[in-house]
Amino acid sequence: MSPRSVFAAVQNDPGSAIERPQLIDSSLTPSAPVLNPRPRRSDGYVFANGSTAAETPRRSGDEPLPDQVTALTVPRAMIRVPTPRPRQSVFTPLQQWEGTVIHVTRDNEFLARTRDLTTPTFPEEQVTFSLDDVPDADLDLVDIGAVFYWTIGYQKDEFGTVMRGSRIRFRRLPAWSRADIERVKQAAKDFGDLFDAR
Amino acid sequence: MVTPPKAPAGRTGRIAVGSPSLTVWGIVLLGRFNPSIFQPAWLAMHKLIRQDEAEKAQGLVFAPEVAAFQADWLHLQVTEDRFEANVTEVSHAAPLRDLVVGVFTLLEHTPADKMGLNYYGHHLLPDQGWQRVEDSLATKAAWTRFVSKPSLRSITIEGAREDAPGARMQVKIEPSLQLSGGAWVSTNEHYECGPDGVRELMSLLASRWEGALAYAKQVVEKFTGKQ
Repeated sequence: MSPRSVFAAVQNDPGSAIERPQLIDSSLTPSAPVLNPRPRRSDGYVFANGSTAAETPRRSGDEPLPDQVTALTVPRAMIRVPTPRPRQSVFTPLQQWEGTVIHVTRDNEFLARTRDLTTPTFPEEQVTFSLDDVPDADLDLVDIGAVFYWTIGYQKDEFGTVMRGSRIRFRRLPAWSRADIERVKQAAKDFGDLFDAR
Repeated sequence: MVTPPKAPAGRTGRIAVGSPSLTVWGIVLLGRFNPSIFQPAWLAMHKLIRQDEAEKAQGLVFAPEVAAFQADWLHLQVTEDRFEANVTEVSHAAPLRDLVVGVFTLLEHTPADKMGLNYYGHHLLPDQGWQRVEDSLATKAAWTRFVSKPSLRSITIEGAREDAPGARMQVKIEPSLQLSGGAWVSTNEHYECGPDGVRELMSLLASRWEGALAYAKQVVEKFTGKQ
């Protein structure tokens, strides 16, 4: 696998493909073994003090020693960055929709047009939601035109208890920057010029 | 600064068999990045994640060459040449796309030129398990002259798709190391563009992410019989 690959998946992580994050820092834990002597970035190892594989000392006239790292070549701080970890509480989705807010009522509700993401061939529907279903952190995002994701499924907690649940999460995109607005103005001007020219 | 990750709460060790957490959806960009930007507080400041998600982020690793953390649903890892964001639940796949588009809308001058839309997961297999898969993918009789008891350990197929113009598609299937008799399936939709192409890559991400998810689902269903 090329070190410049965007193919993130490596199944053969020690122990688990989605295993615990670890910090391997020889300056903090002198007795820590060198778990993987090959500084393969694709395996999640990076050197915190700037060393790179290219700096690994070579024997005179030899190729680099790919599978041997002596104490002298061990970087001062070697970090194994975390890989995705399972959540303690697992949510198994049954169905998911993408919704767009089309009206916010005074009755603590909002009306949305929803599109089925699980079965895209299903027609769009209009659904009324209670604002009580929206997480507090997302309440300020509820506005006409706002996009959100609505998922129903089974929530299984760390003790094995299963509950049917519904989750709403509003889309978060950065506010328009001055450059964005300038770009739109320019595009509008270009179109205007185009029509004027006719 | 290097912050040791907190000990994971609750159960540790291998993931329970059949857990949906055995699947990962991810977006990878290659280019030149400044890892020190990518901190939970920065994402929360720009409202790309919730404030409480930023405050409760775990597995924090910050150094000049790397930033990594897990903020509730999101796992982010950035080095100087690689940006990778992953989720382990399909319901977070759309927010993942939004987050990446949001980040690189803010950082629109980031020199990134390659992008991978990735899926990988371990899957239980129906009757006959892995043997049925390998029989369908490899002609073992062709190998008996060279080795006895041949078995398929990994297969990678590369190609293109009409609905993903310009992409190089790659599918990799191996026997699962997590699930006995199960299969590990990964898909990769790879895009390349010019050195200043992050806007082009984000446009591709916005238009292709749902298709990439559907494609991964099709592949999994084809070779495992279910998802």
